[in-house]
Order: sequence, then C-alpha cells, then structure tokens
Amino acid sequence: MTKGPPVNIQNLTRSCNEVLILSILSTGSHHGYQLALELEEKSRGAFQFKHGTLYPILHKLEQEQLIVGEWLEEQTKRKRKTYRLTAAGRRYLNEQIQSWQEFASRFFDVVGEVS
Amino acid sequence: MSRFAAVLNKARDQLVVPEPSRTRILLEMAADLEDSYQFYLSQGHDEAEAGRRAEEAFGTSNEALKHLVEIHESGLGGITQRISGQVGRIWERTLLLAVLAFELWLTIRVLSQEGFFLFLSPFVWPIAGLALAALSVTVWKLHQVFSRSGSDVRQLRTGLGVLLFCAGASLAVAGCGFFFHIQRFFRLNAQEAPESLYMNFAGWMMEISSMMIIGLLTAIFAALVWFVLSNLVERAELREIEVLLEARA
Repeated sequence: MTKGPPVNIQNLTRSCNEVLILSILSTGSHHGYQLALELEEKSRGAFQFKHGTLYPILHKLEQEQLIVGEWLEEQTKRKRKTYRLTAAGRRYLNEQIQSWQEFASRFFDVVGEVS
Repeated sequence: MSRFAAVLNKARDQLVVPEPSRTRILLEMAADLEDSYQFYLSQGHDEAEAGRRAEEAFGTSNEALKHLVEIHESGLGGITQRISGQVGRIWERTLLLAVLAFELWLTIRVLSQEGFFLFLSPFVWPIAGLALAALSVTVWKLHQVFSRSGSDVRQLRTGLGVLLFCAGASLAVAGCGFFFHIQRFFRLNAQEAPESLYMNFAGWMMEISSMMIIGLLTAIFAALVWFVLSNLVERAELREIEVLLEARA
C-alpha cells in the first residue's frame, strides 16, 4: 500500500472534517445543508455539524481546488450553491484515507499496549 | 425579504470581505437556511418552530465567520475592489460618465483626422485587437447588467478582468512599439545619408505618435469602462443583498 502524506496532528479536527466532507462529496454533488445532514446520518449521529460552521471548510477546499462550487437553479427557480469533488480532490482524499488508516493503526498499537 | 434577515445581518456585519464574495457567502447561507426551514416544515413543525430550529441548526459562530474572512481576504481582488468601490455619490458617477464620454469623443476626433492612418506602425494592429476585445466585453457586460437575461448577479463580474488586461496589454504593446521604433530610427540614421534624416524623423514621429495615441486611448477607455461596469455590478449585487436583508431597514 502506498503511504499517503501524514495526518496533520496539530490540526487533527480540521484534517478530520476535511476528509469527512470530501468523502461525502465523493458520492456526488451536495450543498452545505445536505452535507451536514448526510454526515450526521452516515455517522449515526457521531459527527454533528452546525451547517454554518461548514462554510469555512468548504470555501477553503474550494480555494485549494479540491472541490468546485457551482450555482445551480432548481425547479423552484431558487438558486443554490452545490459542491462537487475535483480530480485533484479525489486524489487528495485517497491519500488522506491511507494516511488516516496508517494513523489509526499506529494509534491503536499504542492504546492496545496500554490496555 | 428573508425570514432569516436577523441572522444574515449579523453575519453580514462580521463578514468584512470584498464583494462579490460577501454577497455570494450571504446568498449561500440564505439558501441553506431556507432549505433547513423547509426540512423542519416537512417534519410537521409550525412556521415559527421550523424557523427557530433552522436558525439553531445553522449556528454559525464568530470563529467560523472569522475563518471565512481570512479565506476571502485576497490581495489583488481586494485592491481592485477598493478602487472600483470609490465612486458612490451621484455627482461622482455623473463625472465618471462625463469623462468616459469625453474620452470617446476624443478618440473619434483623433481617428477621423486626415492622414492619421497614413503612417501606421505595425504595433497598432495588436492594440486595435485589444480595443476590439475591450469593446466586445463592454457590450456583453452592459447587456448582462441591464437586461440580466440568462444571467444572475453572481455571474456579472465574470469577464471584467479582461478589461483591465486589455488596458495593461495595450500600454505594454505601445511601450514595446516605442522602443522598437527608436532603435530602428537610430539604426537607419547610422546607415543613410544625413539629408534623409529629416524624412526619417518625420515618418518616425508620425508612426510613433499614432501608435502611442491609439495605445493610450485604448488603455484609458478599457480602464474607465472597467471602473463604470464594476460600479454598476457592485450596485446590482448590493441591491440583491438589500432585498434579502430587507428587514434591517
């Protein structure tokens, strides 16, 4: 297995949030509110986000061109911004998933020894 | 008017970022709040309860808004935004339009001078291409701003940067042309008899002056149109956000 870039320990929460969002977006386009709902549903309530707190993460990922935001008009004529994963975002996500697997494995190596 | 005007107003006050980023963020928040509200209505809650729950689920924090400001504070975008946002009062806008009209009148007058096109530098043609590009963008943006057909406020700024590029590029081409003609003049003078110096100088002056005039007029035109259009677009963005936040008034 190829080793991905190391997990950012200093910013573990941010790094974790980014991977969670990118994972949801890997299944298709979502808007901010949908993302929050799906994260909560898929994690069975473990990851609960106020959707207002998702914007900084989404906009940062968009700035880094890992995701792209598009304004789409719905049937109700309302316009809303939806996000989708870019090719660079998909590569980054795969690397991060590998890093997180490696990180979790090392973490439980230590925790397992203690317990 | 948005039923979430109070929440959006609070966010607007803290979002000190250049337009159109601020308007776009607020519109995104408004759309998500509305979705959340519709979700709670569909769950059987009454309007007041759905609104309260939507605000609670939204829950943006000062820290989140601060991060958004950090992300959207851009260098060049911020500078051009501050420049284009200078004209606010009606007399300032009138003066700006008067300057633009004067520049157009001057351009037509210069181009219609007899003999202006007799000694044209080859550098005039790329400048003419840039002027044509600036003119096309101007017509396209004016159509978008005033008709708003097939476009929304978020797309109005697209393409405005082309005008600044045309202004800068026409100056650069004129500058390159100036140095090209200078070195050509000195090279010819070194080779030819002194009596032809006057003829060379006159021809050189004609070529260089027509090129510099066209280059400068194109740059001024493109920059002025960018300034006017940026103001029009900003006003359209602000109108949209004011409708959204009507409750503030």
